[in-house]
Amino acid sequence: MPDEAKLIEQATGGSVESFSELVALHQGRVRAYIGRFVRNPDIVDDLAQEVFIAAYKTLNTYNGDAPLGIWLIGIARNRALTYIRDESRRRARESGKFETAMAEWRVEDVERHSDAETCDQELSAMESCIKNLPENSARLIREHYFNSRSSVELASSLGKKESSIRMTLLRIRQSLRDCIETRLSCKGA
Amino acid sequence: MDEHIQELWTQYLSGEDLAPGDERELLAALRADPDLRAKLFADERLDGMLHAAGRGNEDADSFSRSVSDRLAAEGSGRKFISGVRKKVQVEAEQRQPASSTRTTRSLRRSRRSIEAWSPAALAVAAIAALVVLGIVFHVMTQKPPPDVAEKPPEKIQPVPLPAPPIAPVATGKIIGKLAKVEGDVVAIVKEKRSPAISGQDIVADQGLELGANAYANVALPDGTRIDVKPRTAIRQIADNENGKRIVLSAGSLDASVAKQLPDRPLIIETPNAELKVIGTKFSVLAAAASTRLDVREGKVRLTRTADNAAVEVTSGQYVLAEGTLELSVRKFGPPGGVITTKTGPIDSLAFSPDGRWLIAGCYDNNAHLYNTEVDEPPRVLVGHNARVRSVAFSHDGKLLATGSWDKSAIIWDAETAKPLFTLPCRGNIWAVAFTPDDKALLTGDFAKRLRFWDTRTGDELPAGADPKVNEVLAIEYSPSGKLLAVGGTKGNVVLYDADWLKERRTLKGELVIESVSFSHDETMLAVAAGNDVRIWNVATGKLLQTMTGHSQSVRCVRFSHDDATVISVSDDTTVKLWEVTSGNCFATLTGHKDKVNGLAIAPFGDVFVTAGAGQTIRFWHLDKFRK
Repeated sequence: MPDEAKLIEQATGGSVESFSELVALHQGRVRAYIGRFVRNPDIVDDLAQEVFIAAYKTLNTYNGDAPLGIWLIGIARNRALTYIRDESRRRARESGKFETAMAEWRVEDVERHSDAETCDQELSAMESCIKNLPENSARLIREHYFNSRSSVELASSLGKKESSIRMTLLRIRQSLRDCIETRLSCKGA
Repeated sequence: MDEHIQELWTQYLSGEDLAPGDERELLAALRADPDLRAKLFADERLDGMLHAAGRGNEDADSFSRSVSDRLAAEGSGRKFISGVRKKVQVEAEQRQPASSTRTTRSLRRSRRSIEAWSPAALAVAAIAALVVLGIVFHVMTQKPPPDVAEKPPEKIQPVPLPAPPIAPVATGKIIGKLAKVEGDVVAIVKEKRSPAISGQDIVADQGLELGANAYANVALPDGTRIDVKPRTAIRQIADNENGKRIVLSAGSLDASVAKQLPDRPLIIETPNAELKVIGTKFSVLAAAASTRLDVREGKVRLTRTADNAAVEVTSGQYVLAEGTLELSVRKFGPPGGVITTKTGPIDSLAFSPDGRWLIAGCYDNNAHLYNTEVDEPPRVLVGHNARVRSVAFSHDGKLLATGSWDKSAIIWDAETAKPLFTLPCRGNIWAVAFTPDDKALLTGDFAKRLRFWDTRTGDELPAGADPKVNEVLAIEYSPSGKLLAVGGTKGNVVLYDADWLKERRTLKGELVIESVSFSHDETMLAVAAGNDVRIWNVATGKLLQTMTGHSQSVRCVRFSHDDATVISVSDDTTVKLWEVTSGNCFATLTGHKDKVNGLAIAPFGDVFVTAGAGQTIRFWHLDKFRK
């Protein structure tokens, strides 16, 4: 396990190699955070890259009071919000009512649920909650999200309708959400 | 939740295009039920989080390399344009009907072959899934050890780069912290500028610059807190053996200074004066040739730089250091704290940003402009044909606006008190407010319209809207200018995103709303609702407090500068002071003999003014009632 403080010190001095190690350490969380709000995975990565570029440029302002991960997520929040607001405006110009309304609601949703620390806790809670899923549900989640099997593929392999797979995934997510909320409220209490 | 709506949602979430009828159905369901909307967007967030977590490791190395490449590109001066972003921009330019997100996702999905899994393939996939899941969980918290990773990570080749563009701040002595930052705040360290963020350290000799809608709170280790206001430039914040020093080039700040050692006072230096502070609460406004100091607690010594003239300013007093005029310590407001008028009842009050002027909208069809520094007759702004219901100063103090029941608003030159533009509306105007950039005036009227007017031409702008509150009675921009609150006869308050006037939240209620006021940190909104004052959480839309005690309608509410107190005025002739945290009324002020309509908080110090049907304007010191 590399010493993060040392990596930060070296990266602040201009070491790209050290900074790349920091990127490797934190990219999962930053991408997962942005992924909460931005659905296009390519744009998620694009924004995450911008987060790390910005972090590199301002690493000297990081004071170590909060964990580096939280600091990075703070930057990610600003980037994601800017992107989503721009996207919302663009859709308002170019898309129909449905997409426009969805985009506007998404902006509201992001602004309401983008607190860095809460999001970080949610990610941790999500990890724990996935572990506690019944095996069948866990398997479906793994295949769909971690092995990139679409609902069409899963339906074909499991001999079910695609809509049934989608609904099953929705219900699993609902139970995951309940689990996450319970964990967070317990933590808050 | 309706099963069919759930199905439509999952279809949408999977990136498929919905049929127009289905889109309409889903849209209607989401519009009709905010709870459903909240649930489904929570589902979308979780879906996104799962997708991103799943991707987190599969290409961690290539992601890191991409970052290095981009750093290298930027370091070498090449302009790096992300392929993905470029693609999305092209898509946008081509105005493809489907969203870029869904287009990309459809393309990704179509690339995947649809094939049945053989049992062997399933087993391999399951094992792989377990391995990947393990890695995902591990990397969530730490870098994976080599024995868990799918393959040993490739050595990332260092890319020759110049050092980061900003000199490391961490090498300087840390003397405080930026506890809170809103809007455009720039930290300046050794002439290097970078955007400031909340929680950032302040190092010795650093500067700060705040934009038009920005705010920063400086916290020093001894407990001193300094609120730095918009449009302020601090050239230097220092702390050395001689004490603390803040060099205020322009703008204003509000300070609560902890007790300092007598031989190491806190010094605030403005372009033409120096303030010596041992421990007190005060506000200071600095311009190139003048400094205004308002003291709320304790005392501050002001020395004019040009001639070393010095005065001590104590609680409730202020001094203006300007040119070579005599340094005269005064109490804010008129002698005795009361202005008696002959204007008929007063409906509304507003201070100029520098606190020098107080405007009152009156029943005699005029607005009256009072000089708070000199005891002289007011200037009378003549132009309306009915009572003046609403008054406002622009943020730069150069313009005034009045809204009247003659169905018009007037924009005035604040310096000459001459009308610039008369703006014809369709209904009696109850509320006027300048937009945060002062480029437009917003009017709210009884014709149920919000209308924007260009302050440079007087032309109506096309951005007007139905305010969704029926007749508009109250409008207010949040301190940062990001939010707009509108209240009216419908009983609800609608919070808009001020940038593009999109509804963000509705605070439901049943009583007529005559006044709304944001807390300075924008987390709360105080609302005059019938005989009550209500405090709402802006972010969650939850009702935090209902303050009951007035026996008749509340006409105006305002937060104190520190957001700890809400002040309300009422038809019951009283002014009440409420503790925000408990909702308790801690003082009832009974100086007025008739209905009280108008209320304004002075931009500095602890002074607020009230006025109403009794034809008196009363100046009060809030701190006097807090003790």
